[in-house]
Amino acid sequence: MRIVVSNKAGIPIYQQIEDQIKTAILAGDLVEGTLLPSIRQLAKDLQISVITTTRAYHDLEEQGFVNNVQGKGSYVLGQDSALVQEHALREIEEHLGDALAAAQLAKIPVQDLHTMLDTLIAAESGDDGDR
Amino acid sequence: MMVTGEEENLIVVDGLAKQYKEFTLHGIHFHLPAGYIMGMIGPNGAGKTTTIKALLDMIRPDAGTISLLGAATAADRIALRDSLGVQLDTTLYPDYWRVKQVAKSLRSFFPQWDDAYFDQLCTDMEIPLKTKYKSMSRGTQVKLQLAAALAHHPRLLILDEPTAGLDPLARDELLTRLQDFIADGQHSVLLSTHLTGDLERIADFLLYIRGGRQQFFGHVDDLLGQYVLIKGGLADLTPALRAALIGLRTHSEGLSGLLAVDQTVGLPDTLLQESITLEELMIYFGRGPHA
Amino acid sequence: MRNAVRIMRLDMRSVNTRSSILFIYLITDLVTVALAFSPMQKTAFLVGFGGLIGGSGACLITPFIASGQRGLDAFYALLPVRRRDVVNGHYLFAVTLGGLLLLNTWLIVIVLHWLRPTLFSADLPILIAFALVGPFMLLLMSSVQYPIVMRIGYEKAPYLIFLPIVAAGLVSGYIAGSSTDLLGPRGVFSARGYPLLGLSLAGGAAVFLVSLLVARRLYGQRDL
Repeated sequence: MRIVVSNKAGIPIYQQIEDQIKTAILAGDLVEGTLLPSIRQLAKDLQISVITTTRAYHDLEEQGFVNNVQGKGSYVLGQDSALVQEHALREIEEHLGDALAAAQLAKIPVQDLHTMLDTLIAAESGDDGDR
Repeated sequence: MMVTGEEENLIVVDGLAKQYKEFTLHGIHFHLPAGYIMGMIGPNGAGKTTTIKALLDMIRPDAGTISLLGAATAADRIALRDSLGVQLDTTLYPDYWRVKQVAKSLRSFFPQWDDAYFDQLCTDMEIPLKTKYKSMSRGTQVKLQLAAALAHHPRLLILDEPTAGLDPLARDELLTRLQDFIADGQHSVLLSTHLTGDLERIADFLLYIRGGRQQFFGHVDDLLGQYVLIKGGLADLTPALRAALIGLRTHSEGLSGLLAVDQTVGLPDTLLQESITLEELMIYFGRGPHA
Repeated sequence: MRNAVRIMRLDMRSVNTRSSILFIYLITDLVTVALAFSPMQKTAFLVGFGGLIGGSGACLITPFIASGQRGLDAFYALLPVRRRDVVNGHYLFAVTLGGLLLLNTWLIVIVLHWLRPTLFSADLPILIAFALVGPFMLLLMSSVQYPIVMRIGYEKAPYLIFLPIVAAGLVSGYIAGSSTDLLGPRGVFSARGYPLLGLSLAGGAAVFLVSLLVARRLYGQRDL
C-alpha cells in the first residue's frame, strides 16, 4: 500500500490517509479481506500521531470501506457497485462544482461549459476509437 | 474523541494551581492515557516547567490533584519513580561527571537499570564518553539526560524541552524514538516544547498554556480546526471584524489575523481563509486579542 | 537508611570529593611533617590541624555547588528516594567527612610521634583525644550551613554559607588567644580540657541532631 502524507497540502492528515486508502480500495489495489497495517504501525511509519491514524481508520469504517476488528486489525471490506458508484458520483459532483465556480468567477456563460464538456467527451471517445 | 474511558490513564491532573510572587499557574486539567504522546506548548514563562515540577513533586501545588501512574500521593509517586523517565530543562549532573559516573550512580537507585541499553543509547545518540558534563554542548547534555531517562525502561517519559538544543537530524531521531516508545500502547510520553513543528505530527494530545492559564487541552487537529488565518486588504476590515480577529497585524498593503471558525460566516470572498499551524496559533495568540 | 547511604555516596562522588579530600589531606600531612622538623616543633601540628579542618570544611559545601554552581536537588528529586533520605544523606556525608578527618588527624599524630618521639612525648594521649575537635567543628559548621543551604540553595546565599567557616575561624582564634601555652599543662589542649571536650562533644551532637530535624522539615517544604 502506498500512502504519502503532505504537510503542505492544506488538507488534514487524517483526510489525506482516508482519501488515499479509499482510492486504493476503489481502484481495486486493495482487495476485500486485505489486512491494513495496524494503527500504531502506520502512525510510526508515517511519523504521525496515533490519534490522527485512529481517526482515519474510524472514518473509513463508518463509510463502509474497512472493518476494524478489536485486537485483530482492520480489514478491507468488499465494495458493492452501488457504493462505488455513489462515491464516484459524489466526487464528480465536487469537481463539476469547482468548474462552475471557476466559470462564474471569470464570467464564462454556462452554455460554454456544456460545449466544453461535450468536446471533452468527444475527444475522450475519439481516443478510445483510435486504440 | 476516539479515546474511550476504558483506557488506563498514566497521568491525571485536575485543577492544578500554584502561586508564586510574580506568577500564578491555575486551572490545569488534563489526562494522558497509556499509549499516547502529549505535547505541552506555550510561550516562555507560561507555566510548562511549573506543571512538570508539580508532576514530579519538586514543588507543592496550592490546589488540585495529581495522579501519576495511578499514585495519588507524593509518597506513592516517589515510590514509583522507577517507572518514570525524566529529562529536565536544567543542568542536572555534577560538572565533572562523565557518562560513566552517570551510569554508576543511577544503577544503584533503579532496579530496572539496563547498562547494555544505556551504552547502546549513548552510542546511537553519539554522546562523547570522555567529555565532562559541564563541557558538553547543551544538546549533548540533553541527550545524556534522555539516555539516562530511558535506560531503566520506564513506563512514562516526562521531558521538558527535549528538542531545544538538538539539531534537526537528532530531533527527528528523537521523535522516532518516542514513537517507538509508545508503539506497544502501554507507554506514554509527556513533552513540553516551543518547537511546535515537532508536535504537530506526532502528538496525540496537546496542552496549550499561556500566562499560567490553560487555553486548550485535546487533540491537535481539533485545536487547529477551531481557527482560520484571515488575510486580505484593509478595505475589508470592518469594526466587527477588527473586534473578532485575534492577534491582528495590519500593514499598508493589508491585514492578517486569526478568526474562530464559527465567526467566518458571511465574510467577503476577498478575504483569504487559510488553515493554521501550531506556530501561527502561538504567534497570533501571543499578540493578544487586540494588538 | 540504605537510601541515605546511597545519597551520601553520591555526595562523595559529586565533585570528586573523595579524591580532592585525599589530596587536601596528603598535602597537609606532608606540610605538617615537614614543619615538625622546623623550629615550629609542636606548633606544626596545630597548623596542620587547622588546615585539615579548613579543607574538610570547604568540602562540606561541595554537594551544594556541584552542578553549575547549584546543588544536585533536581537530580536527587528524580531518584526514587524521599526528601528526608536526601537530607539524611547530606548529614551522613558531613559525619563521614568528620570521620575521615579524625582518622587522618590520628594518622598525623602517630606518624609525627613515630618520626620524632620527643615532640609530644607525654602529650600523645591528649592529642589523640583532642583530634575529636576536628569532627566537632565540622559538625557545628554543617549544623549551621546545611539547614540554610537546603532551604534556600547556595546560589541565593553564597556568603551566608561561609559564615560558619568564619565563625569557626573566630572560635579557633579565641581559643588560641586565650591560652599562651595550648599544649602545656595549663593549656586548653591539656588534661584540664577533658571535661570541656566531653561537654562540647555532647553539645555538638545535640546541635547536629536538632539541625538535622530542622533541615528535614525545611527541605520537605522547599520548592525545587
